[in-house]
Amino acid sequence: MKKMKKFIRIIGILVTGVLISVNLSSCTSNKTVTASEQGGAQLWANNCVRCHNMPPPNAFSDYEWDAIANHMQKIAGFTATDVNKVAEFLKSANH
Amino acid sequence: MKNYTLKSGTILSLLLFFVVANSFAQHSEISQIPVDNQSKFAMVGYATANYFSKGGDGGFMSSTFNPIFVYKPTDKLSFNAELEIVVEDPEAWDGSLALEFAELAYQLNNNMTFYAGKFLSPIGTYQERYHPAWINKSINGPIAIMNEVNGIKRLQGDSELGMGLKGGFYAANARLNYNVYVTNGPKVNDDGSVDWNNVGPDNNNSPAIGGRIGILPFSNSTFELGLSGYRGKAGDKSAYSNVNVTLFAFDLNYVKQTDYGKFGLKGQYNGQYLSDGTFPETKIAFESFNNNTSASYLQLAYRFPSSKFELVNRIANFNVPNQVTWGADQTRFTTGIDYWLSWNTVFKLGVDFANNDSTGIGFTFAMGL
Repeated sequence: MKKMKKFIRIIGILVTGVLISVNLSSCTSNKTVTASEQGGAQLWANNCVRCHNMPPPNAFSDYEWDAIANHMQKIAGFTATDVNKVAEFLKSANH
Repeated sequence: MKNYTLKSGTILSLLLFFVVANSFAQHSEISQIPVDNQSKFAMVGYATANYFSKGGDGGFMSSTFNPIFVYKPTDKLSFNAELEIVVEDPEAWDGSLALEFAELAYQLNNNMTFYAGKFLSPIGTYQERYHPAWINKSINGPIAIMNEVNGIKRLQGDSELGMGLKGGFYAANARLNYNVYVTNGPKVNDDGSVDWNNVGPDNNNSPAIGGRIGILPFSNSTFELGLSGYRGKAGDKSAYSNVNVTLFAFDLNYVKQTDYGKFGLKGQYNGQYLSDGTFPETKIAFESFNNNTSASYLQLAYRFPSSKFELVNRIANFNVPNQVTWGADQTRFTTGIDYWLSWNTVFKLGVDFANNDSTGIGFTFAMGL
């Protein structure tokens, strides 16, 4: 029980540190573009990397990107609009 | 009868929600997206070759092939499924073939998808997002959340069988994602552990209900916090009929690209609570005890700037009641180095230490497909 409390305390300290650092970093970021206004390229750059390395646009064909983006939408909880923006960016960069 | 009514009521509520939400979809953005009458299909997935040696007892090899089929026949319909083919014992050529998930989905509107079938456990984020070997940067999974060693039982399953609603939306500058679902639920064992991979027919005619909400508070989406909950009856109709299981999980993810390299912090805490029950296969057979178990991990990865090398360190913790026989309290530390051949192909070398287990060394060659 003691170990668990200690572990939770460590996680708490780390989370606090992360929040502070993220808050500081967001102060210096581009504030003119809100999350919902971002384009496909920015959504791709910001979100894919949270779980895995970013795939290059030419990794898959256009039809494959449509199916894969749809799969990613289900896993990461994107809106349909956002995931369509990402798919359109990947397809346009593919040509 | 009461359970049957509850189950029917829950399922009917979900279906009613499906119809109502779909009616709103007629005016949503997605209904305006043209369909080009071309089916969209891809086979992705991953493959691994693994070597692991523990306590100087020599090593063993295993190999896995996990094809994932993603299919989008129309703008709103999709089907995603994963098979897992594993060779576990080369001497006996013994392996297994399993259906990891098979999920049919229908996009109701811009913010919501209805899904049904067998789906990856949405508790926390590890199982749903990070468990594929080319995404998981470490040589193994966190104890009890993914990994079972020394008799330790997991505190969540690979998959669930049921249906639900999931999606995402914006609130001010924050992005949120959610998932609510109804499943057949887990089963409780005679030793007081929970069988989370109980994906056959419902053992007690009583559904389990679960959900997760994640928030990405900043516009650059580099930071996510998530909270999951799950509750259901775990006992069979006859044995342990009053035993309920409650699970909650907390997860976090932070990724930051800097001039000094890329940092990635991931963590999850699972707390599992069984209502009081007596179980014959415990150290105090037929006496009641607080059957509460928890598991957690925190992983920090660092990739050197303009380099193919990445360092990975993970600490994981497991706490179990003294009365049970399926494992003991454990703290496990796993450290390793990855070498990325491409964006989705990696060599992983790591060492695994535990306070009450032999040290292990592992090597994994993983490729995303």
